[in-house]
This record gives sequence, structure tokens and C-alpha cells, in this order.
Amino acid sequence: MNTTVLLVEDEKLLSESIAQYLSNSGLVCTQAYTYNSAVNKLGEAEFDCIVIDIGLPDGSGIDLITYIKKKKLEAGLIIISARNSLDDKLEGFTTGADDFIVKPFHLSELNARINAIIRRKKFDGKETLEYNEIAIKLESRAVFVKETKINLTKKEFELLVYFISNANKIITKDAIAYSLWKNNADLAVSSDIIYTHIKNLRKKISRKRCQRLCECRIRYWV
Amino acid sequence: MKLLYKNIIINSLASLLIIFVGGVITYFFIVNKIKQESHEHLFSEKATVEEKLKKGLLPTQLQNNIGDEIIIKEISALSNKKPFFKTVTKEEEANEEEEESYFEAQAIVFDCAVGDKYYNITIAKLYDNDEALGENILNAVMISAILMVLAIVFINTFIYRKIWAPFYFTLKVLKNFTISKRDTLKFPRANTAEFEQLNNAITLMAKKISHDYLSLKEFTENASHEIQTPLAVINSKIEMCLQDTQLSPQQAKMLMEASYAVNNLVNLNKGLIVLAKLDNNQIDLPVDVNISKKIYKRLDLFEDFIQEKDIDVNLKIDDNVVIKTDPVLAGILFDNLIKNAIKHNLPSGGKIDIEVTTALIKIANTGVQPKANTDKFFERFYKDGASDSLGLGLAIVKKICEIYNFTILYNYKDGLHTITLNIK
Repeated sequence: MNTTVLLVEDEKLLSESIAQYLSNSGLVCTQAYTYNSAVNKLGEAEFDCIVIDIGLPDGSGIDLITYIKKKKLEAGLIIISARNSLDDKLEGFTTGADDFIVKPFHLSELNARINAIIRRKKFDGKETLEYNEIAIKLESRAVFVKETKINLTKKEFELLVYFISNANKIITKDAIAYSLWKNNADLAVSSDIIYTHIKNLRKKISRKRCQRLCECRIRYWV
Repeated sequence: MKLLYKNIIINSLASLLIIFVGGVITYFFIVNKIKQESHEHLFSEKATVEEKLKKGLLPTQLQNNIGDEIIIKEISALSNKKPFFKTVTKEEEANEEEEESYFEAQAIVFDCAVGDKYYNITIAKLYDNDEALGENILNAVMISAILMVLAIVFINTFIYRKIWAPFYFTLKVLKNFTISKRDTLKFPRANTAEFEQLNNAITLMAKKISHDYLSLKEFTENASHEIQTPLAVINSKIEMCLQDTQLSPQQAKMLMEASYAVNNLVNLNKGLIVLAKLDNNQIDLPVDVNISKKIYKRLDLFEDFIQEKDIDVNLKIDDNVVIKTDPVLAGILFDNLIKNAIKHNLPSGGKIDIEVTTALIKIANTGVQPKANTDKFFERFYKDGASDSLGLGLAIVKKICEIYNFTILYNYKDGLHTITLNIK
């Protein structure tokens, strides 16, 4: 069964990009531009994950979350907001959102977070994330290549999960830096640290004679 | 010069002048009046003398008859002159000790015919010593002048304090007024109309300024927030373009460069939002934050970068140092300081010393000597040389320090950049 996402974002240009990116990653994405159309769409179908912009023309995203909680829908909730004040964040979380992402964000980051939430919701986090010869037990953070366990550092682990979440996508250095270091990403952008991590990751995987991941799917421009 | 002293000096000088001029005028008035009265008196004396002579009294007998001094000369014929007054100088009957002194007296001179004899008669009025009069008036003037000056000093010093008290209060309130702290001016009712007006005008002005300031601040913050959605659109479009497998390397390179620039803009905007928030004092009430633990936690986040540059980190952190602050802001503060120490460190093999006590937080890092004015390090958008940082990190640090009254000091010595926060 396909994984479905409801995207509630009033900025059409942004909404289209997000929808396209998510569709390309194999998610089925439904767009809603207003509070009311979001409520309608929630009545029509079930969703695994709902992405909500706080500032909507006919209501607040927070109200929408309250509505969803009242209806006892099982969907995972991600807030996207132009406001990054702590108040918004707290208010959003207390009313039951699972994650919070501040505009502007990288599509790859949003995609990775949606995937993480869906995994958590569907499998209680006990899922094994598989990609070709790689298997990742998310809860225990154990990584296996051709059934052999490899030891990754925290950052290498995060990097691998991020890459697999965005498989077949081209990801910018900024996006990787932000995903791994959040507010201190600027230090990573101005250094070679990402390459160092990728290099190490590649070494650890290819040592186990896993060629395919390393060969082609990590592509970046300097 | 204080208004008080100016008041006293001007009032005293004016009063002294007026008293002096008044004294002189009084003197002349009195002298004139005395003269007039003596003239009237002399006229009546003249009539008495004439009458007595006509009754047959001998001129020699006259002397004792009237109180004034009289000089009678026999003349051969009547002159045509009318009776006239003149001023005569008389010698004081001097005591032995006193100097000889003269005084002036009024005299009337007239001719008179008694029977077939003609006389020239001079009657001189004996009146109070002229000089004594001047002296008395001078004394009176001096005494009033002294009293006047004393009164002026007294009134000004004591009344001044009371009257001007509202003014000084207004001044104090204005001195303590900080627009960014969203103070509202409050004055008690002044019972002087002018001060009441002044207070009203100031209150109104402050209200206007505060309003303008706030709307400007809100504008900055709103603008920063509004920019985020278009930035998100640009970012997403670039990312979508990059997914195109048909991209030539040149196109990809250009897109990456655009993405890099947008990312800088995003970071810049984030920094500005933080600063706007701090400027607007949109901060939660301070709570106890264990900065010792906080620093260890924050340092963990930078482990990768510290390893990459092979930086030797020396920690001298006292246990459980607690300060009252906002935990989020404390995090931003330490992040920026540590980031700074890593970014501006030597390319490899440098060191960072961190010292935390209840009195201070000290972060020192090796690095090349700063090229430019170190006073400007904490200004917004200041960048040392070709640094690719945005120049907001230390400005944010400084702003946070201002909010919690920490003093911040930068120092470069022997290849070591040191930033010290006094947190006591």
C-alpha cells in the first residue's frame, strides 16, 4: 500500500515543489491550500502523514492540529512555519505535532523527516530500513551490510539514513550540513568535514564488498 | 552654571542697582524738599524781620529775636534786585578733636527800607547737617541692600528646591528612559503649570517615539519573516532543478552557486530574526541555568569540527555554575562563542581554552592576529578580512550579554584570542 501525505501549504509554488519531490520519492501526495479544503480532504481519505503550514489564509495550522487530534486521526504531523520563535514551536508540540521544521528548508530534509515519522508511526520504530545490501535497525541503530554488522559513528549513521531516505535524489551540501549539524551547519559548509564523513562511510561499506550504493548513488558537486 | 546661581546673581545685581538708584533719588528728593521748606521758612522770616523793623526794632536787637542767623548791613540806597536765595557755607563750630568741617545753608538776601535807612539783610537758615543726612540715607540703602541679597539667596535656595523639584524629577525620569526597554514615562502631577505642560509634552513625544520605534522593529521582524516563504520557494525550485539528470555540469554548478547564495541569505535572515527578537526583548523570564553542564553539552555538538581541525581543547570548568538566564539564549551564546573559536582557529593543531567560574566565562583560541579594529568585533556585519562568516555571531553574543548585564571583553595576546564574559 502506498504511503500517503496531505500537504497543507498556502504558498502554491512551494507546495508544488514539495509535492513533486515527495511524489518522486514514492509518496502519494495530496495538496490543500486552505484550512477548509484540508478539513474536506481529511474527510475524504486517510493519510499517513500530514504536513501543515501554521499560517493559512483561513485559519491557523495549530487549529487544524487540534481538529485532527479531536478526530483521533492516526496520521503523523509535521508543522512547517515561517516563524521560528520558541512560542510557535512549543504551542505546536503541545497540541500534538510530531516534528517542526522552519521555513526555508531543504526538500530533502522535509522528505527525510516525513519518512522518519511514517516509520515511527507504522512500525513503532522497530522497523528495519533496507536499501540494497544495507539493512538498518533503526531502534538499536545497528547497521548491517550483507548481514555483517558494521560500526558507524553517530554522524555516519545519520548520514546513511539521510541518504537512504533521499535515495536517487541529488542533495546539496547545505542540505546535508543542515541535517547533521542543524544551527551549526555553517561550520560544516565552510569545511571538508562532510566529504570526510562520506569518505569514511564509503570505506566502511565497500570493505564489505557492497558496491552498488557507493558506486553511483552518492553524487554531489563541489 | 546652575540656574540657581544665575538667578541669585542676576536678582542680586538688579536689586542692588535699584536700591542704589533709589537711594540716590531719595537723597535728592529729601534735599530738595528740605530746601523748599527752608525757602518757605526764610520767606516767613523775611516778613517777620520786615515787620519788626517797621515796628521800630533795632537791627541789632533782631538777632536774638529770631532763631536763624541774620546779617544786616546798612546800605546807601535800595538796589533794584528782588529778594533771592543763595547757598552759604558755614563753618562748623569745631571741637578740638574733630576736623573742621563745613556745611551748606540756605540764605535769603533782600533789601529793606526802614524810615530813611536802608538795609541789606541776609537770613541764613540753620537746618540739620546735610552730610549726616547723606550718611543716614547711605546706611539705610546699605542695610536694605544686604537684607535684599540675603532674602534673594534665601528665597532662591529654599523655594527653588521646592519649585524646581518636579523639573529635576522629570530630568531623572528622562535620563533613565531607554526606548528599547519599552518603558512608559510616568510623572506625578506637577503643581506648576509649565512643568505640567513639559511633562505632558515629553510623555506625548515619548509615546510617539516608542510607537515609531516599535513599528520599525515590528517591520524589521515581519519583513524577516515574510522573506522566509519566498526563500523557501527559491530553495525548493533550485532543489527540484538539481534533480534533473539532464543537467550539464555548468548548469549544475550555477545552480549550486545560487543555492549557496540563497543559503547565506537564509542564515543572515535567521540571525536578523534572533537580533530583532532580542531587540524587542521577546525573552522569557530568566531561570537558573547550569552553564557548566550546558557548555559540555554544547561542546559535544562541535566534536566533529574540533577533530577535523585537530584542535586541543583544555577545559577548566567549575562544577555546577548556575546563572539566571534563558536556556535557549545561553545555548546560542555558547554556540556562537565556540563556533567563533573554531572558525578563527589555526587551520590545524590549534587550541581552545575554556574556563568557567562563578565570576567569569573565558574562551581563548589560537589564531592569527586580527587585521582590523578589534573594537568593531561585536558590531553587526563586521567581518575580519575575507572571512565567509556573516558577521552576526558576535553581535548576537553582545546583545545577549547586554540583556543579562554581562560585560564582555576581547583581547589578543601572544597568538591567543580571548573573550571574557563577566557574569557576576
